[in-house]
Parts: sequence; structure tokens; C-alpha cells
Amino acid sequence: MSTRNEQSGHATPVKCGDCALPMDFPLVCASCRRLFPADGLNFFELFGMPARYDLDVADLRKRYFRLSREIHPDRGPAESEGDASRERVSSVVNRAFQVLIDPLTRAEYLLELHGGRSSAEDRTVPPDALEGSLQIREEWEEARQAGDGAAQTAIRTRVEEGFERRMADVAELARSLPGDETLRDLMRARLNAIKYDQRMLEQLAGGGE
Amino acid sequence: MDDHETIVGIDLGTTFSLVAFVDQRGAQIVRDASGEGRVPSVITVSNQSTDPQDLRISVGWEARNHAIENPRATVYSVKRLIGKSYSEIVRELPFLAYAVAPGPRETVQVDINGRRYTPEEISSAILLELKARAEASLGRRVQKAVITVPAYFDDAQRQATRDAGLAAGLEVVRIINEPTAAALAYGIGLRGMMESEKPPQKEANVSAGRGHGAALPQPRCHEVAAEAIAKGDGETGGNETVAVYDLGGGTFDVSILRIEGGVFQVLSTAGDTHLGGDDFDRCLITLVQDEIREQFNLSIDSPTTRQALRTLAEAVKIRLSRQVRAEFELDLGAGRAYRRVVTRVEFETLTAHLVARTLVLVRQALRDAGLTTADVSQFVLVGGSTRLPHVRRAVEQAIGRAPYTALNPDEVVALGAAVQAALLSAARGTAESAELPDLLLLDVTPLSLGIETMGGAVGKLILRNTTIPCRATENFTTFVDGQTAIKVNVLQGERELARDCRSLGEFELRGIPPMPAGIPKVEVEFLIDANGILNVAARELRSGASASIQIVPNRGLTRAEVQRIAHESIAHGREDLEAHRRIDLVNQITFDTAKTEQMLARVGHQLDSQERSRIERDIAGLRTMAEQEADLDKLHRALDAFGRSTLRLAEIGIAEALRST
Repeated sequence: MSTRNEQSGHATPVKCGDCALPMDFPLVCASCRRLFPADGLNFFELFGMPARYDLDVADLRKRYFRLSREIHPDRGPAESEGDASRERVSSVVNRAFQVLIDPLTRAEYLLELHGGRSSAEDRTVPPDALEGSLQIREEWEEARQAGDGAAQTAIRTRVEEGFERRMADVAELARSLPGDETLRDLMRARLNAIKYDQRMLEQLAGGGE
Repeated sequence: MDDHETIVGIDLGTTFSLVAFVDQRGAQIVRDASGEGRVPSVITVSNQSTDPQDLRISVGWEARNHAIENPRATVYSVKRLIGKSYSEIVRELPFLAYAVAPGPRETVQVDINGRRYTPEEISSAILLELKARAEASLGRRVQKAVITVPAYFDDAQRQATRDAGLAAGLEVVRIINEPTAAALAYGIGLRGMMESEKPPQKEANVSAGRGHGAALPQPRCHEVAAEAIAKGDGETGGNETVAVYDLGGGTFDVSILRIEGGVFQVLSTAGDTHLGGDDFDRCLITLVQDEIREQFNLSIDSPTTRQALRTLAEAVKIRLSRQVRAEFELDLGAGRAYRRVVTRVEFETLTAHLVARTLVLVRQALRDAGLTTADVSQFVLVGGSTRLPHVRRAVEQAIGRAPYTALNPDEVVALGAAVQAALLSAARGTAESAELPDLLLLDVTPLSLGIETMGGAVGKLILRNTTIPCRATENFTTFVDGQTAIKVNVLQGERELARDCRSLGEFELRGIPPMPAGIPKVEVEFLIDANGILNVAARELRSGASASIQIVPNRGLTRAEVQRIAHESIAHGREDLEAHRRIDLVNQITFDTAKTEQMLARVGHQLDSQERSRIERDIAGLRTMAEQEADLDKLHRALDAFGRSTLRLAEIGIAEALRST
């Protein structure tokens, strides 16, 4: 078995049990191409990146592509079954990339990594966010019925700006993780609120069809 | 077994199918003697004698050309039925000249002279034909294939396609999406043969088919590799975002891809598996039927007229792509004739809603990818129906610039499939020849996957446009003490209610150890593999009896049925195949020797007398072999040798032909 870095910080190269060679990615030995199950590794570790909010998106994508070249089912015989099968390992890496590439899901993932509660456990939303959202919906409906395109665009811009603002707040909080429980609860509530914005933006965009 | 085992790439289309492979010269479409690579996806079953078992199945042009004479035994567009339940295809029925009946477990069956065939069986007959063509061309057995499907095909349609391959004796090593295959061919600069470059005669093909590509603009892999590397294959390369707009004979797909460092990452896909050339034809068919009913108080709806109208509508549509009006006449008997002029404008108005629907889907795919038209560097058009002028115009208007139309819309998908097949062989260490650039496809699942929850709602487990392979797990428990089985209804689709989604079947989890209600914890894993096909695994966590849970699907063909089809068609398919290959080889020899004789007569004076008489001897020798040789592999090698020994003559002949034009 490979030895793994227990810290959730920077994942240092580990060694393949068969070749005793250091590995770029903990999932695959660059030398013998053996695959290892993804259990017990966090998403950042899969890509050999430090677990923090600020990351180079282009670098993440490059690492994802490089790793995929090794582990994708198209890239080798489908001999291994179980948790280290190409299909399973790839599915974890695909999910990890999807979560980390988006700042919002990345922030949420980091929060849970640092012991924060998930949205299923804590659905708190700041009351002002809810009221704001209801008001915007009313205004949007009015503008839509009146066929007021300019007003609709203005509302959409307002929601977008609100989203950006809240996203900046969340980013600030994500950078101060792990912090204390108060900070993590605050971040949870902000994330819950921001999802309202996101859903609304999707609906406003879809309303044009 | 042969270690140089070629995996072929197959485009199994609604109206046409093609097979291609990669060899030292690059990706090749398998063509017939006239240079045609397309095989109509049409089969006819005919009785040769009074023995009901003595059936003859013909596939391709022959079946298509005789469709009107034998409408009830000629099956076309079966791709619109495959993997569908009977209730889903009811609206197809008015347009089919052959009989369709409901089969067991909600399946669809085609009824030909009282014998029932599954769509998988019909498709397997087409695949067998393609396989035989590839074998004749390669000179050895073909056992593995990459088959393309519309990106928007659901799980059942993908599984059914794989089963059809299995029934044709093919191991389907990968199912890939048609637009992704097209993007792959586009990305490495494979253009196929442009229509203007297509050799009108075999002449030019002689050189292309004999390891001498210089006279033809056939792409070769080392050129292709250089281009791909220049485009950014490698760690530091640039990236490009493309959209593939694929309007085929029966289906529409649009996929948005990011191409970076040799990785083709699909960002989103959208489509409609019932929107294609057939639907454009049907607008014309309905118009004609309505007018005949009005003018003559006549309802024309026999199988023969359905087939005749189909052929007519398709011909009118094709004519209207080139000219602005098309005139036609239908003899209705009893001295009555229906005459009509359809203008291009009228046809375009009649079918405008279909084009509009494709654009809605384009916008949806862009939105799902989080992009606008400005972010996409090329809109690549593929599929035969993108030849329609109003389709091109509509796309151009929607994106504000000209789309990319330099790919051969009929051939590019098969070429892409062949490239993917070659990449898979390389990864499995069975690659031969071609130096392909190191490419990887990362595709997505087109539809969300969910399970039915209390009250008929859908609990989504995997969202559409998630990169595959992907997986989700869900825990289930029992409601009654001692309950040993749980039913799970698995759904695909975007709607919120189970009844509006496509049910992939009610999987039954059996073998749960008897325990009080709510105690068992059955963890079910839903894994969508790289083929876009769902694999379900389950284990009971409390007792740890992980292996004991059986999963019983209730849709599509059972394993036993697939095996029966495979057994039957191969059982009497083996001999057919040999016979088929012999016919193909003998035809090729007849053609090549005649061509060589003509060329010898025309430009033979440019060779010395020794070479002339050697070629004459070779012609006679090969003809004798064609009559007498039993070993088909030997015959194939002799044909190859003949091609090489007449190469210089062929070159002179082509050079001469080019000079005289």
C-alpha cells in the first residue's frame, strides 16, 4: 500500500508500493501505471494541490487533463475491478474537478472539509436575503408582464451584482478557514443565500425562451 | 489470434451507415467499387422458395432500391425504434410502410411476413454488412468496434445499440457520441473526402486503396499529428471552444467542446432523438397526402404508397437543396394524376419549425456550458441534413457568422469513430501502425439520472452534462418486517415528476436478509460508465452481505435473448459472411483487372514492353485465381500484390487523366 500524507494541507508526493517511486498524483503510479482507490483523499489531494480557496484554475484544468490521461477507462485495459477500477477512480476525479473548478462549490467543499455543516444540516438563510429575493421576483414579474425589456435587463444586472458582492464575501470567509464555529456558521448562511441568487439568475436567463 | 487486431469505427445512422478504420495511411472509410462509403440503413427480407425458413436478407443499396416493390418487408429508419417502448413510437407508425407490433416487456418488434424481429436484430443485420465490408477491405476478421450513437441517446438506446453489435458478433469496445466523434475528426484536421474531391470512378481509388495516397487529398496520420501538435497538443498548448451542430437522418445533437492539450472535453450537449431529415420529409408527405385527399377525395395510405411517398419526398427535398423549385407527378390510377410544384420557399416555410427547434437546443447547450456564441470559435456542421440551405442560413443568423462546413457531413462521424478505435487499441497495447496524436475524449451524460421518490417525484442523483464516468450512491431500507426485496424505479430526464421522465426500468433488489422494517441499509451505486451506460450495484451494509443483492432489470432484451440473436445470426451468418466476402473480392478483381486493361490500352506505350507483358500475365493470373482459389485470404493477398505491381501504370494513368481535364 502507498503511504499517504495525513495532513489536509499541501499533498506531498507519495510512493507507489510496488515501485517505491514517488508519485505526482496519489491515484496513479507514473512508473507502473497502477491505480489506487480514491478513498480517504480529499479533492485537492487528488490533484496534488493545496487545500485553499485561491487556486489557479488553468493549473487545475491542466492537472485534471494530465491525471485523466492516466486513469480514464479509454487509457488502459479494464482489468482492475473494485474501488480502483478505471470507471470508479475516474468518476471520483471527474466529480472533484467539477466541484473545485467552480468558486461557489469549491468554497462549500472547503467549508465542509474544515468541519462546517452541509446545506442539508443547516438551512439557515439571512432574513434580508429572502426578502430581497421575493421583492426582486415581484418586480421581475411586473416588468415581464409589461414587456419592459429595459427594466428586465436592469433587474438582471442588479441580481448579478448582488451575486458578485456576496461571492466576494464568501471568498473572504473561505480564505480565513478553518476559523471558529461562528465564522463557519456565518459562511454556511452566506452560501445558502447565494444559492438563491444563483437559482434566480438561472430562472431570469431561462425566462427569455 | 492475430495481434494486429483492428478495431473498426462504425457510424450506425438512421438513413446511412459507414465503417472506417485507421491503418498506416491514416483514417480510411471503407468504400465500394464506385467509391461510395455510405450503406443505406435498410434491410429487406425475402422468401426465395416456399420454405418459410429459406429467407434471404439483403442490406444496403439493393434493399433501398427495391423498397417500393417490397414495402412490407423493407425496414428503414429502425434507429428511431431502437431502445424505445411501443407507447413511445406510436407517432412514428403513420409513416412506416412495414408493420410494427408491441413485444414483451414494452419492447417494439418489427413484423415481416409474420416473423417478428427486434430492432436490435435489424440493426445487427446492418452491422453484419458493415463488418463484412471491413473484413473484405482489411483482408482479415473484424471482431471489435467502436459504434457511434446520438449524444442524446438515453441508457436504453445505448444498451440496445451495444446488444445489436453483440448480435452481429462484434464486441463493442466503446459507444461514443456522434458529435464528439465529429469533433475529434475536426480537431485533428481529418476532413474525409470533400464531395468535390470524391473520385467519380474507381480509377483514383486504385491508388488510394493501394498504399499510395499522393494523388488524392486523403489525410494521413503523420500530417494530422503535426497539425494537432501545432494546434496545441501538449502541456503548454492553446485551447479552442467548438460547437458541433449535427443534424442527421433521424436525430439532432449539439455539443459544445473545449479542445486543449489533446483533450476533447465536452462541456454540454443537447438534442432530440426524433428530429432529423426524416421529419423534413414527413412535412412534405403530409402536405401531399392532405392535398390528394382534398382534390380527389382519396386517402392514399397503403404500404406501397407510404414507401413511394417517402422516396418521393426525399428526392424533392434533395432537389430543393440545389434548385429553387421541384416539380413532380403522382399517378393515382384511373386516369387521375396529382401534379405539384414545390418551391424552396414553400418547403422552407413548411419545415421552419424544425429548424427553429434546433436553435432552441443550441441556445440551451450554450447556456448549460455557461457560454455565448462569441465564446465559440467554430460552429461545425455535420450530418447530411445540414446541406439544406435554410438550415445553414438559420445557423449563420443565430451565430452571426458563417458556420464551418468544410467537413464531409456524411463521413466525418465514422472517421472520428475510427480514430477513437485506434486510440483505444493503442491504450490496450494492440495498436498497429498509425502514429496518432495522444488524444483523450471526456464526454458527458446527456440526461439527468434520478430515482422515483414518495409521491411520484424524482430525486436527482446525477445531473445532465456531468462528465462520465460518474457515480452516485443512495441508501434504501425496508417498510415491512422481514421484507427481502426493494423495488427502485430508475429514471432519466429533466422533468420533476417520475411519469414525465423515461423509466430505465424498475430494478429489484433481491436477497435482503430478513430484518425488522427500516433496519436494512441497502447502498445502491449508480455508475454511468464511459459508454454513457448505467451500471447498478448494491450491497446491504448492516449484514455486510454485499454480494447477495441481485438486480433484476425489467426492460429491453434479456441476456438470453441477446445470446439467441447472436447465436442465430452468426450460425447462419458465418457462411453468408464468407460468401459475401468472396463476392466482394471477385467483384473487386473484375473491376481492377478491367480498369488495368483499359489503362494499359491508353497509356501502356509509356511502359517498356517487358513491364507491359508482365502486367498482361498478372491480369490473366489474377482472373484465374478469382475463379479457382478457395482460400479467401490468399485471394486477398493476390489482389493486394496486383495493386502494387500495377502501381506505376496507375500513376501514369492518373497523371494522364489529370492532364487531359
